[in-house]
Amino acid sequence: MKSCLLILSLLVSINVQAQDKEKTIEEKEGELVDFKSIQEVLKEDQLTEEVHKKVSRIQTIKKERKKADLERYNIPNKNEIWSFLSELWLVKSASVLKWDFQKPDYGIEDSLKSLMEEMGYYEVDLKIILVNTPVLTHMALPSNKGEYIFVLSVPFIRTLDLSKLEIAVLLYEDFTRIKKGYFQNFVSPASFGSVIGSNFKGKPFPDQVFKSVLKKYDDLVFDRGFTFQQQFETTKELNRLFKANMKLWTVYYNMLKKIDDLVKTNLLYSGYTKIFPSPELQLNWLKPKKEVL
Amino acid sequence: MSRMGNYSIQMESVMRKILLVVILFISVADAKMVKKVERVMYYKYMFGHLHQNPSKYSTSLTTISCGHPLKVYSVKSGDEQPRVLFNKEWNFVKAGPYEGYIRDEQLSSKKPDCFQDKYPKFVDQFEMEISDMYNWGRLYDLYLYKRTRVR
Repeated sequence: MKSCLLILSLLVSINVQAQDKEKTIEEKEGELVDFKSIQEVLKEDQLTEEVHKKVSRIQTIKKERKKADLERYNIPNKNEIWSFLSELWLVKSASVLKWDFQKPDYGIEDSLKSLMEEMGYYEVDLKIILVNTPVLTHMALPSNKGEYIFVLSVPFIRTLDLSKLEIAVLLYEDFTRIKKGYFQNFVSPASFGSVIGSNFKGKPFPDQVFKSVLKKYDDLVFDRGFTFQQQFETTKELNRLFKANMKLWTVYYNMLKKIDDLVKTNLLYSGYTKIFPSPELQLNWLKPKKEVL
Repeated sequence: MSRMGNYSIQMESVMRKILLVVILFISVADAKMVKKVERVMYYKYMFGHLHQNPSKYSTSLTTISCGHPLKVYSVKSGDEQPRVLFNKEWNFVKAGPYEGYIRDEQLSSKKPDCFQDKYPKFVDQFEMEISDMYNWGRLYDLYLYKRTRVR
């Protein structure tokens, strides 16, 4: 019993010491001296002004401490949350996506960088993670402002024997989808907007919202994919952009043709059209309309 | 008998040679690495790895998190000029008790604004395991990273 009491008192004193360590000298002084009880003495010594200054300084420190403590419970806003969620999803899906493997240097990042610059995107960070699986062929993930995360399957680009420029164009198509917000809109539940950028001190953490977001990443990437309307809008935008540079337009068209042939002949990629409907339709949308005389 | 004597003489000479080689090796190895702490830098991404060799596929000695201070060494070997970079992009650093390699691009000379420092309670809610931190570090090892140029 005695030893229990001793341990308890030791723990209490450690806790008090830890709390004391966080306090500033001014705060400790403020706790030690009761200025009210010595008001007369202070008046006589003409120190009342000094006491006022000290008390207001202590109050400022306490306010700042309270603010800092509150900020620790902040939930990132829309400009800062996406890269965290996308990377968390990549980390949690490491065993499915198989991105931790040795591969040669393909120089994909250099060719994407050149294309992005050609299309007028300057001072943006490009992160590409190569995966060793055909279950995810290519995709851009939501990310923070000024940065873009791409996932690209090595078996997919090898089977198609894509050139570096074709890969860059393929990733640019993914980039267009992410810019249009299709991915973010799909994975964000209704309450997501009110949760991000808020504070959860004294409230339960809305973990169901984030669980739902991560689950929807799986849904979109492996199951639902994009709609026909979204594919139409993306293809039309690239058609408009690449028309100014026929080399890029031809590369885009030929790349879609290669993908169309692949998904029709290779069973491993037969599910591709579920995610990106459909290369055949995209080719039709790209084809110039014949004039009827 | 004389054959035995010759044999022991031969053995003795071989042993001497081995000893000489060992001493030479130790002295060369001693002269090989002269390390000097050049500066302190900070790890700037979410999580990362300290590698045994200057390669992203080399064994990880330890996982470090954003803001971790690292002593960056310059290494002088023999009469060569001291160098800070290995394999063009790797720094030889000390993190706690470990000495290993980390990519130069992943270090910052100033303490970075780390996501987990800015949103500590939020990050805590995801209850990340050691394997998650390891994988997060691997992600930053394996990202093909580029920044497009200034306009």
